[in-house]
Amino acid sequence: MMELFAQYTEDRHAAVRKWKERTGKQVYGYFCCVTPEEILSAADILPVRITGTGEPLQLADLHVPPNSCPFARSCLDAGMRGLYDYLDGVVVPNTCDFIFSMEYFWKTLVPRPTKPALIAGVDMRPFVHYINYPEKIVGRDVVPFYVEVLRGFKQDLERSLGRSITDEDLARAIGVYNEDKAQLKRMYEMRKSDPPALSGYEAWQITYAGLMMPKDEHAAALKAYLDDLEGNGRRGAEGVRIYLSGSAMDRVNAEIYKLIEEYGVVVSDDLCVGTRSFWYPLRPQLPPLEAIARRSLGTACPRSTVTAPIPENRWAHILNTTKEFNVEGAIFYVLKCCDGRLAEIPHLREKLREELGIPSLVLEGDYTEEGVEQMRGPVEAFIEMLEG
Amino acid sequence: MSKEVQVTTKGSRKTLEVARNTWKFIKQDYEEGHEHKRAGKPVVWSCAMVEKELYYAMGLFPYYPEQFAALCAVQRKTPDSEKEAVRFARIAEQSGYSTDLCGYERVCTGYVLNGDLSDAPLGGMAPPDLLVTTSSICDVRLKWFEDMAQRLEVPLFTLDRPERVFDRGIMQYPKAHEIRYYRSQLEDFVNFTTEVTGIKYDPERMRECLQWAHMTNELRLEILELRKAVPSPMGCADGFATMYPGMYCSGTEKAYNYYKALRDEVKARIQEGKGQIENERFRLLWYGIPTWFNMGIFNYFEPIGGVFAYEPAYNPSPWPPLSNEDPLTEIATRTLSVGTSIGARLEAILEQCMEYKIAGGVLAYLITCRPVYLPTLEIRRVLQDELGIPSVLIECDLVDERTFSEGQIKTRMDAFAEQILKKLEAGEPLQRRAAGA
Repeated sequence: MMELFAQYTEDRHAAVRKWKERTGKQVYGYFCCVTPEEILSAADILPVRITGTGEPLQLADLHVPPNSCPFARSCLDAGMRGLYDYLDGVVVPNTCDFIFSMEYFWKTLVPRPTKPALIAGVDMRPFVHYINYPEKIVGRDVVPFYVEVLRGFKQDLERSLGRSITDEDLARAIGVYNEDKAQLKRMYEMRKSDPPALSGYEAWQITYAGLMMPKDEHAAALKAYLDDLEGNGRRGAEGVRIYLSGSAMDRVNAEIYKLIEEYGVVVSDDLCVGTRSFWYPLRPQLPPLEAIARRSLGTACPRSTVTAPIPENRWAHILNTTKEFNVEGAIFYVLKCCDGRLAEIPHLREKLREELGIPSLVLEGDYTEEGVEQMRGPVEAFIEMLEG
Repeated sequence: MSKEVQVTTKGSRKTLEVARNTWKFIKQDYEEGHEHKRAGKPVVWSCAMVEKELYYAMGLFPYYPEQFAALCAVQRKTPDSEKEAVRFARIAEQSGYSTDLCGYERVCTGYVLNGDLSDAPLGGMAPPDLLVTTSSICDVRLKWFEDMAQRLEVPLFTLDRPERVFDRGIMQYPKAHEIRYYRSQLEDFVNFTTEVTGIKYDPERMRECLQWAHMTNELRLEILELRKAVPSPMGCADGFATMYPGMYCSGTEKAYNYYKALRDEVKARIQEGKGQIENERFRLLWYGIPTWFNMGIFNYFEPIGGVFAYEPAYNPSPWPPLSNEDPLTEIATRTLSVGTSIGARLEAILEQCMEYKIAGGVLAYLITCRPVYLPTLEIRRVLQDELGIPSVLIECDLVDERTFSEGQIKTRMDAFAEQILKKLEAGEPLQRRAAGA
């Protein structure tokens, strides 16, 4: 079963192309886990998360400054090189400064599959969809505002597709997404044992594949895999239990899992390709767009805040995702120029140490496999220190 | 301080009397804030993008950590010590704040971590009773203010501004749900302030502040129009020196009076035919926030006839005319009328280069300021492709002079000037008209 998930680690583009050829359906790319994927799924479109390659840039460095986020630059480079030429559309939410700017960069620099369909100056078939995601995720009127934003997005899709997306379509997608989230949560539950049932890298591979697979297929495959694991009572490797917090964890960044797990084992995380993408389920009893809006707002992105005199929403997510995991140490693996993360780390490290007694290590990555390898010394020393 | 980190940075030579006297305005403003605090009245630390009338209407005295960091970039504790900005940035870095983080943030965080808020230029910012920030334009301001709230244990309010994107132009009337949302943010801010300070919201007082703000904005737009004159009557050194009252005291009579004097001085210079320098040969654009620690850079090209004529940063946009609507709706509509996408900004810069007859762009590639540096290479590309204008990139932090490689930057600027001088010598036009312009 792991082979199915591993296809996406090996060659995500080939796997998605194969799916598209087989089904004849549309595929949309998106940035960030706050994207209301459920609406795309309800429209029978496969949403796939856009990630980079880790390869030297070929085209994007003429347009994007070299000290900006290496992950986002690599994503753009992949788009400009045509690696994403199977996408029928792209969704850009207003998350961090760089992802916000993708609305311009992708629209201007990445070849689109179809020409604009201009009527009265309006593109009836937009290629890049911008989602005005609020920065404040809890507060009066945030939800009604965001529901309106999502309604606009839904209408744009409906116009492009020439058909409506009904509440029934949305409710079906919500059911499918919740089933997948439930299976992912179950997988994390199985990592609470000592030793955990599966390694951090395996759990990451499964979560990562879920960003590209249709969610119903992913949920079914994961259920079968976890049933099997439970049935045979398999246990993973033992080791110092690490909590991993960091930037977008795609195939390149995930090398850090392999490195850490040479010395310890990653049991939980604060990652957008991890807990933040599934921890909080959708509430099917709500009107569908509101349920989707609330799920999207509940992703605990480091860039977001809440209405509170002293906002601690990020700490709340860390508490939720460390509880009962018996975490012994935390590693912050953050890409250079990931300002939202870099700004919060000193405070979160203090809280981890003072309130949970968890020491931490900060690593600043450059989005290369070689860069990860250079972290071997600090990782080894940190885990040795934890072993006492 | 060791010799090897000493940078020969300096202040700018300004053209206008009003600009030269702005320092007095700033000193007086800081002192007023301390007076306000001593009188037991509330002080707010705010990010620069908040609508300032809100503070004056609510009886709050505002300090702006970003502006304060810029102030620290030009001040030393003693003639031999390093700049205050560097001293504070070091404190933050020693406490785990990455050098990749915004210079403004590192300086202010170091200042807060230092413990004694009066140990700073002009006695520092008076201690805050509340903090206010906005989601607008950059992520760091939000995270930085959250961090300060946690460290100072002072309540924070964030104004969440929907970030609007347009296909064409930088201004469009906002949609109803956008106005509704942002207005509710403004109302929550007002309620939050009442809760923290006990001061009640008075719509009449707000309207009065709005009136001053609008009149000030109109004056600033008039000055921008006047600055198109040839020779350039007011350059970027003056532009940056005179932005303080408009950026930070908008909604007050003193800001209005300041720009009235400035407008009159610029007008008089135009009537006299006086430019920034005797023989203006070419005009330049400064893109980005200035290198606050080295404002002398704005006079660099003067010996060869080059003047900085226009800078897009800190300049006002046209506002919808004042109405008798509810003031909070008015503010929401005004703020949301402006789009912030890169495409819209590029379009605006191209238009401004034509309007101000720009021959070249100096692009401040501020390595820790993402919203400023992200479009830099695209600006360079469109200036060249659309107008045939060369650009040069100046790579450093906004306030941390340790990142400034003077020799390297001068070499680049000299090569850039050569390109323009060659055109002048060959009698070629300094700007090619954009297609469709």
